[in-house]
Amino acid sequence: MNDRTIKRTLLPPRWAKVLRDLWEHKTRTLLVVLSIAVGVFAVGMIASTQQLLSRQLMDSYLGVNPGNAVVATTPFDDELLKSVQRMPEVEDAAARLSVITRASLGPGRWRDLTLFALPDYENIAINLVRPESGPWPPPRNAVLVERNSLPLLEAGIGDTIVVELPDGRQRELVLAGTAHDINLPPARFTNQAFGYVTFDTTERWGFPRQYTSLSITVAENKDDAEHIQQVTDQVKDKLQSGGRTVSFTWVPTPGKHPADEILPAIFLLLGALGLLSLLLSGFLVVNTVSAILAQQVRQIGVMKTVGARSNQLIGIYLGTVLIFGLLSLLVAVPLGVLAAYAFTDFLAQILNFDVVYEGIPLRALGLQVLVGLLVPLLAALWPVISGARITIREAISSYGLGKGRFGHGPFDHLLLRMQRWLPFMSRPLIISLRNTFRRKGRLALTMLTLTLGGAIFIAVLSVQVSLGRTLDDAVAANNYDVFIGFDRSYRQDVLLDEARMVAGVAVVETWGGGGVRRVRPQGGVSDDIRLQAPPSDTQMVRPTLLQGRWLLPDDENAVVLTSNVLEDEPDIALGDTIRLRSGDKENDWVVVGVTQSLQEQPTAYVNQAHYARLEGGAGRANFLRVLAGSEDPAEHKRIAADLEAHFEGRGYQVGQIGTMSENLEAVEYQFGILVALLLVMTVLMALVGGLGLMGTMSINVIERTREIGVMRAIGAATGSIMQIIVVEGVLIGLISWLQAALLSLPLAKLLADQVGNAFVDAPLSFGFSTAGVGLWLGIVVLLAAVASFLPARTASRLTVREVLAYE
Amino acid sequence: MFKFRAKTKSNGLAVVEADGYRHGNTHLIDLRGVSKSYATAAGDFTALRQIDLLVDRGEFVAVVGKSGSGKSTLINMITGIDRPTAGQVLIGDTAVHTLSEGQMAVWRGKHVGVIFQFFQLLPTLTIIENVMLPMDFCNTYPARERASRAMALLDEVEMTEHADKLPSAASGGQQQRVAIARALANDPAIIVADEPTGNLDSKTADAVFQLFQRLVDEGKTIVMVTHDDELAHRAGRTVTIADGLIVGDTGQGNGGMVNGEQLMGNG
Repeated sequence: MNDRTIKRTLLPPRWAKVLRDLWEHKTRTLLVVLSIAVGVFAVGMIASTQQLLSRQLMDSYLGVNPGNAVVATTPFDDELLKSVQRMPEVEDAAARLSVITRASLGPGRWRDLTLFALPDYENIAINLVRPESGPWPPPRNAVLVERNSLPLLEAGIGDTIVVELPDGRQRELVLAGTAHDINLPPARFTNQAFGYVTFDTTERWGFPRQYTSLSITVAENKDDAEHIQQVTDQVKDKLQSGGRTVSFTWVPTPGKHPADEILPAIFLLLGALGLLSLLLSGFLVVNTVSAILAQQVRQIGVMKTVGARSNQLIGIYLGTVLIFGLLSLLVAVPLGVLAAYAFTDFLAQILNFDVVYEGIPLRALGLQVLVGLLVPLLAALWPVISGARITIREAISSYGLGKGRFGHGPFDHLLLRMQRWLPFMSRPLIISLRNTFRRKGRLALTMLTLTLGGAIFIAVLSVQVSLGRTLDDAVAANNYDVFIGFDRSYRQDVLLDEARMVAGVAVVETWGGGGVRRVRPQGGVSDDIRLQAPPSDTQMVRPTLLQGRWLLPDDENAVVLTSNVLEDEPDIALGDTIRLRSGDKENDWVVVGVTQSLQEQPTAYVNQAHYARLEGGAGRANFLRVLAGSEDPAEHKRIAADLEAHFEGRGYQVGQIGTMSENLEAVEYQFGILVALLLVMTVLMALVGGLGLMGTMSINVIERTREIGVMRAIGAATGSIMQIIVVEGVLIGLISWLQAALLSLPLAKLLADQVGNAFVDAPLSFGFSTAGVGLWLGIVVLLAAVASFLPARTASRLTVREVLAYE
Repeated sequence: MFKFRAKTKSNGLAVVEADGYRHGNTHLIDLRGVSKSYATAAGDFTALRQIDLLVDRGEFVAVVGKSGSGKSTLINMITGIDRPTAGQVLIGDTAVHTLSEGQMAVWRGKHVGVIFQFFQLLPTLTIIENVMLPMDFCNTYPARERASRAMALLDEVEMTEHADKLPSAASGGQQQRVAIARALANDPAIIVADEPTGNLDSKTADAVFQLFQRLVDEGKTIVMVTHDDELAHRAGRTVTIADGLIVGDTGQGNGGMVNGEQLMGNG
């Protein structure tokens, strides 16, 4: 007997009852609160991060006065710069010199390093670069490295690094400090480092005091990409009429950081998973509230007898649910904000901008409060209304052992017959089996929670597999290890002979190529498209085709496009004729195929022979693709270095050189981030599933307490009782696993397609994670065993007197 | 017989005008031709057959009968817990059988106090909170007066010292006294008790019975289902039910009906 005196409260008795009921069933309250909290946490973390990140990214980006367009050209001087600045359509223009170098990381190891020389570090008008550490501006023969790319150089401040200039000369530079330039792509995404030097330094290297890139801001309609493109074309014409060759122009989406293109997709994906986990916790609320109402049916009858109306009872039980929601907010909101700060910091570091936290993100907080209260209330609405409407007679007359309808319907009859077919089944196992299907509504919701949780778990792991397979396909599609681009074309047979002289080169092909632009039928031109012209019998490119076919040897004006070309030029369809401009020439091509591509730059493939004829350079090529005898990435780097030394030693002008493995490293890094984020959501999902099962099992056990008492009274040992309950839990887990495995296949395909479309502009090469299926089996059985063991242990400890005590 | 003239008032309640109460009934409790059938898997089961029962203000009525005879169904008709399949249930000014569920709850809370065999106190409310609960639901007394009224009622049943304890800290007899205090919370005219002493020892049962008698002396009307013959005898009137029919009634001219003792096999 509990003769403890309870302090009198000012609360009306019905609300005192609500609070004491919650306190009385602490474990149940905790499970429901945690389950809702997980969902609210996930939604809150994503929403807060999105709010913090997008606002701050935008502020940081606009704070550097980003250029509306960039034009890269052959060198030009101040005179030409001033003439652009004087154009009425141009608000301002700023120029810089870009020197493509590579920095030595050690013997035979290099990292691409682009050095920018700015004319006046104290007055940067467009694309502001800010000092971070070290002297400003950088002293002569010193470099300020963009802070995001410092780790790529594997050197510290004060160290001296060796850089190799485009002509092969090597020079030493003191790494004097760091600078911050939000305009540059994330270093880890490109595997490329950036640094800032003065013209004093570049002049000492022999570069004239001239510029190779121009950033402009337009005078009017700064948000109008089409207008900006028109002005950019005018600037380009001006430069070209001044005798310069424009290699490319780029108009970023006005007012948006380039990362803003991909962030919404990430947030949408994570947000959807967060909402789903909240939905799953809603199922637990349904189960718990139904159980509370079932358990309190007699109390409901008594309350109605003493004058409670159904509406008042609905108020009491919805009040209980509201408290679940409020408690979950207490847990989820602070954790969500903390996680959002950490997540924002992580993304800000990758995207290279600084976050200044000013208070908590209120809009996201509001969303959390809304979903944290609304989802449980909506989930509980039906069970509460139907529970509160029970008539007093039904409520008062409810008595006896356990609830649930078993023995009705064909499935129950099947279970009843199983005993005849499987005579070896023990009695406790038979009880477990039948108990599982007693509360079919509750079982369905628990099963739904576990099944969805499991299916998403497996689907996310399948996305990971698909990302890996997509990478593998990219490797297979680009079946070469080393690529070299020359600044001009050379005879193919000579290039082949020279390349074969280098040790380790197994197969070599010469390719043609260059930059082209699509001339749009409605006027204007597209961004730059990389044109690649492999030989018709090429072994080096086997892309994954999404539509149409690959190039045939006899094709002349056929072109195969990568999917991201279609992303930028959505009006192009298979079979269309498109016009591509290369320099002054324009040619029509028929689109015969579309391929998947991880390469950032949109690409068009055409047959080499036809391309060479069009360019007037039959038998000549400006690219080499090399397949090494070894699969070791280090060996590929060695071969690249040797090839470069070999060609440069013989007077060839090597423009670019690299290895496929280096290119893929950056993509792997991006995919890695994505997978890590998805896995976090998966763990949350598993957590909700586990809590759901634990909740259901505790409810089942509490509801059957009297039944357990009867079993004990007729001689059931502790072990038997525990076995009955644990086996029931594991059985639920196993059935849900089977369903999850089946459901996960279409779900994984859908998710992989969406992730692919969002991140690589095409569905991923689908792979199903059978390991994920196995892993979920282990997890769900473990979860089920633990979830049912705890209430089973509590139940088995009850004495017969306790469990049979009435009310 | 009374003259009935049914009409509907603006509040939607069917009202019967007559010489006594508003519905023409002269007794506080007036059951007229009440029948109740239930559909069961084994076919229809008739729990009450054309029952007529009049109970006046201040009467103490014991309802006796075997298990399944229809006792509980009868008192469920009086409390409005169940509705008749046919017939009328007139309690004071109210035609109970015409009330909606919501109206019924409010009416019951204010006019009928119900006492159960197993006390049915809410386990997570203290004893005083259990007594305050009907006032809370029916909003019958100003909020600040409810605690003092509950204490006064607990004082009547000698339970004030346990006011702030949970029901589990009280004995069966004590819990039943609290249940009586709760039944009196809204000062109802009628107390309906379903085997209120069925779960108590004879000494405690006697104490509870004395409490009932005091309430009757104070003007309350009590209808009590019991299996206890002695208690039934001590009530002012005994109504005996068998197979859904009133077969004995010591308060009415019972003609050739058997009395309760004969029916229960005790006589």
